[in-house]
Amino acid sequence: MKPTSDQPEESHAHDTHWVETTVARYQAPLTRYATRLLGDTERARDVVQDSFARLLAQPRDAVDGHAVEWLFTVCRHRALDVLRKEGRIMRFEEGAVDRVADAAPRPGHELERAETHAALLRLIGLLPANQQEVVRLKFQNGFSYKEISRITQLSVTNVGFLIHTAVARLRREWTAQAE
Amino acid sequence: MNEAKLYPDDPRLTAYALGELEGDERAAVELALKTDAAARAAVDEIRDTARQLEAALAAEPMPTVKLIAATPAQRAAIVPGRDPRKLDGGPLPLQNLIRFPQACFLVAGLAAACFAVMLTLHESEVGRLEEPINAVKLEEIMKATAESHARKADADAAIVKPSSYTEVTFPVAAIPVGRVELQAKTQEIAEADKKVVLAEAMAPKQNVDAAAPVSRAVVAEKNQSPPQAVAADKTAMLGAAVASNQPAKEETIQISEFEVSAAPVHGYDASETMTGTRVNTAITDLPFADSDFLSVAQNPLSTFGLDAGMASYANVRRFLQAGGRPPADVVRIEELVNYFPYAYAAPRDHAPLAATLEVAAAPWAPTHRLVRIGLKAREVPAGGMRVTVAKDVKVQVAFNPAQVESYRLIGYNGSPLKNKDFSKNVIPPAGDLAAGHVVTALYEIVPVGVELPGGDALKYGKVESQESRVVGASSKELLIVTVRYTPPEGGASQQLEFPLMDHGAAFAEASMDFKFAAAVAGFGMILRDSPDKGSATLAEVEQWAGQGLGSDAGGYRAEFVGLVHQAEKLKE
Repeated sequence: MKPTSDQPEESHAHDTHWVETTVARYQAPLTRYATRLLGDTERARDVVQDSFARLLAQPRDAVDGHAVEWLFTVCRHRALDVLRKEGRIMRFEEGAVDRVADAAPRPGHELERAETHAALLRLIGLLPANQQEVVRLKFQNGFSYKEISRITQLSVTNVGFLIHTAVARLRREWTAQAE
Repeated sequence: MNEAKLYPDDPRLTAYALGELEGDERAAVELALKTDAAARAAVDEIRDTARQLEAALAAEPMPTVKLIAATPAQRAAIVPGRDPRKLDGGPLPLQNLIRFPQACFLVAGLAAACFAVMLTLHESEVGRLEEPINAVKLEEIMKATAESHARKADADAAIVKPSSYTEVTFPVAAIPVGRVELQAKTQEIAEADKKVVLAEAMAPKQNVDAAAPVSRAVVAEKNQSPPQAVAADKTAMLGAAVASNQPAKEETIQISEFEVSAAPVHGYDASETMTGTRVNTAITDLPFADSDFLSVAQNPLSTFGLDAGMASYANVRRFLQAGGRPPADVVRIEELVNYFPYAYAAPRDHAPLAATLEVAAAPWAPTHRLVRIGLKAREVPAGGMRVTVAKDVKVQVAFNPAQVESYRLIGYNGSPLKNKDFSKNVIPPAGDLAAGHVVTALYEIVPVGVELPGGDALKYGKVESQESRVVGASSKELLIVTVRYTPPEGGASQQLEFPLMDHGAAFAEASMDFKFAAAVAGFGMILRDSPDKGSATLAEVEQWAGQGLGSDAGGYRAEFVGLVHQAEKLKE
């Protein structure tokens, strides 16, 4: 099997490059996702390393075409294992990366945007854990409903409902804040 | 499903807006949208919200990463010759991993996060901040915290993971998510007439003893900015005392004390949990005591605000999930109750709101009655901006003295709007009611003939009110909820009345929403160690919640049950 001509330039390189690209590109977002599931970065790093190790151990064909979704699925599975072993419920850290949102208004677009983001992140953090997870999978990691369904083992309908509910609630709370 | 009308609660709207519908479903929605301008606007709004969410979530800081490069042996496992797949997901170029010279900002953001949390608590409490927290003070704190964190971060970054990977460490400041030890430095910030001294508080050590140091925050000058004090504990919850800016009163000088309490409190051995910190906030002149029962004779009318806020539930959840007990003052029962969605009937005809009233036995005190009042504002068809359906809304609850000896509004503790104010003809809180808004209030009622907790017999007489219907002693109603409002388009103020008859239902006969709300209230009372918690135990709270689970769309209630488990674990 050979590279097709419409693949990006880097795809023609060796697989080592692909591996490195995958890791470089997705280690951080995966760690962020795992941290949310586990509640601390240390354990998240372990789980993420483990997930990449498993990815590399897969025959390429098995994951080709959906490696990122595969990574998130495995990562989630491993994280839940950890939680089960420790007898902890699944949880998410909310508010841990907030910034100040209530300071007096300051000039400058950059600061305003940062404050807007912080305020919105805080609202996201107020959602129930399962809504937060699908919101992050959708809007932070770019997965489709179908992919989220596979990662989380929820039905597509359920995923759609959770996202709909979360988006509506965030919209409502957001416009309420703006007044 | 080829309905012509798309309602705001149709998940297909969101699915379509996000490009998730295909084939027939997509075609059906497109057809419906053709003739529905409001729904088209709703789709635009959803897409706009999605964009904002993406931007905010992209801005969320990443944890520290050490780049992992696989060993040659592992790379060889991959069959050569195939293209790397087109990778979806949010791409993050390498540069972003080290994009944070504002790293200290991020780290300091954690400190600021806690301020933000306490600010939120404060906001929801008094309705609005009298004066926004001074930006200068916060920047100073953030800088100070960042410095101490940079030191910690260096230590963190030096951790090496054993593995078969070669590792490359990037110089990114560590962002510890989870337990954070925070130190706020004492600072003096002179600014015109203002002078604020921020407390220095040290994170309590692992083994807390009763003689743990007390940190104090002292506020200086009168007339000026709110005093602030910071205490830290291992679970990264800062307590900040924020006093509202009351002009020209000597008494505004508040001293907040943060002490680590190691004394076990009713089943919770605080010395073994992470959090023993109690926060005394000096927000209002009223102490943070749980509401006492009020006699109908002396307090014939009651009111509650329309906006309960959501922050308390998230804070309680955070404490419990971190293995600690939330301080009582973090537990705001009305916010816990209002965090959850309930199914309330929509108003009919053109009324801007409807009330759902229900009464049954209070499960923690079966001789008392528990009343649930749900107010739901009218929905507007999809696509409206946040529409006001009623202005200047005032809620009033009048009790029948023939049936009610005393009552208490559950939650809203420390609110400056005590019921007493009502009888002195103080104007109750009035706010605008937005479309779709929902608020739930719970009242516990001691019926006539049932002895008060204090054992006092009360006299009651005729209750008169100029503003609302008298609940005469001969009436069969338990209470009347009166809602006054002004129509949004102007005109004379209107009044709606919602009477409630008590048919003596037992708790078991109540609706699922009622049982669940009762469970949440019971949970809050236990966490606050309220004197009114009656016979409530966590095990019973869990039972009540279980009976009230229902379909639990969105998983809210199941998560609550999980929190009750966490709380039970704390006792062990």
